[in-house]
Amino acid sequence: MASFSDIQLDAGIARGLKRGDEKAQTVAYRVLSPAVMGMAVRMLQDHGLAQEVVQDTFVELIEHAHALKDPAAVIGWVRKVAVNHCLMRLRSPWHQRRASSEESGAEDMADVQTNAARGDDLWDLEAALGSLPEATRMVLWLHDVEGYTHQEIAALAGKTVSYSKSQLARGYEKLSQKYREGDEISDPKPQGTANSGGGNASQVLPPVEKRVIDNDTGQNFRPVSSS
Amino acid sequence: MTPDKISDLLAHRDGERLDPARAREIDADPASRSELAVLRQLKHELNELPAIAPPAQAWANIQARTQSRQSRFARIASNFPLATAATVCLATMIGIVIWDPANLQREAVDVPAQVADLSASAAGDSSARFAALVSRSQQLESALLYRDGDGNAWTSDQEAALLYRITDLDAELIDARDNELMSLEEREALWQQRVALLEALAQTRRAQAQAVVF
Repeated sequence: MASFSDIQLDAGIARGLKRGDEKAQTVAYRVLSPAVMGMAVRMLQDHGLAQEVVQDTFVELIEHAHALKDPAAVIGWVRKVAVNHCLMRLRSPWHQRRASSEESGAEDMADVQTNAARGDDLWDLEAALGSLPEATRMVLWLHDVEGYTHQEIAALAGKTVSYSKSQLARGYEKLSQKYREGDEISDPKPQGTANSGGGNASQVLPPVEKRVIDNDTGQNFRPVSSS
Repeated sequence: MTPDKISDLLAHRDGERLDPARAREIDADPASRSELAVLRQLKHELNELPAIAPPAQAWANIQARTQSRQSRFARIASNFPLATAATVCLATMIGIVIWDPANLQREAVDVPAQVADLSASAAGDSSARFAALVSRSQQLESALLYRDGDGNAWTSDQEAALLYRITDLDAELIDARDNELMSLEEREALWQQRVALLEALAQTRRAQAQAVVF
């Protein structure tokens, strides 16, 4: 899974980071970098920029870990720094110019990708996510995957809580529409999802194997653990 | 489904405060319940998207960067205290809560003795204008460091951008001085940029202070 909330970092690794221990830095990188990369790819929709975010985040971690007051806060700190680096890139004039020129065609491209995916009877969440405007995508990811509150997102974005809520609603409006369109064409969704009523969906949702995509090979493999 | 309706459904899904009558309405309406189930499913799927391993080369790049920056930073810190304070401040900006603010103060009180040396050597280069620039830079830097010594964490993007540019400029100035790569005019141009950046930083701080007052 892409979220930081599922990651465990051994306390010894955190203390090693504070001491500047190279082995601890390597382990921390191995454990945390897939989550950073996953978040950055989804928010920025650009593998090159996402790699920059990973590098900048871990350079910060290595250079400043000695000043950490609470080693247990490493994961939260890494997430916060990575989010800030993503936002810096989203706000950069270069990125905004590129995004505005690409945004007009993005939805069409996503439709093409989604249609291609439908050929294999798959609902392509990645493509649907990529079709959202970047502000919407950012709010959606931070709120629903990273667990940020609307207040926290509003403070990060320099906007109001209403802005965050409306972006989230707008994002789900589009995702939900694409999801239903995919549902009509592809195989039925897991039982009890689209027409299950208001029950607790987590009871009927299928377990999805936890995996990490290897960016070099494109293959899936199980995530590493620090302990 | 309108965005307003979806907002209500999302609030209901996430257990946020919702008008009880509206909550009952959602629970009683099959279409709303169906949409709610889709929203739950989408959230579930978003959370199940796989993490992505960076390319194998990324870790080697990080190590190379930290090693080269460590040596570069040591040189900058010994020559330009503001660059040191800037870096500490950026760390503070990004990790506001868990970093020790005392670090900022410790770095900030290190008054720029090395800059005075530069000023003297500049004067020895016989350019009064050059010396004036260095002196002005020193004054601005001292004033900014004095304010930073209060331990205030300032966080605007504009300030961060200015601090990054000052740090880069300082690296250029040190390289130029150490390696005698630049003419006096070229160095003067860099010092002019440094003064301009420091003035912009001071102005940003003043604007922020006014915004806080009003």
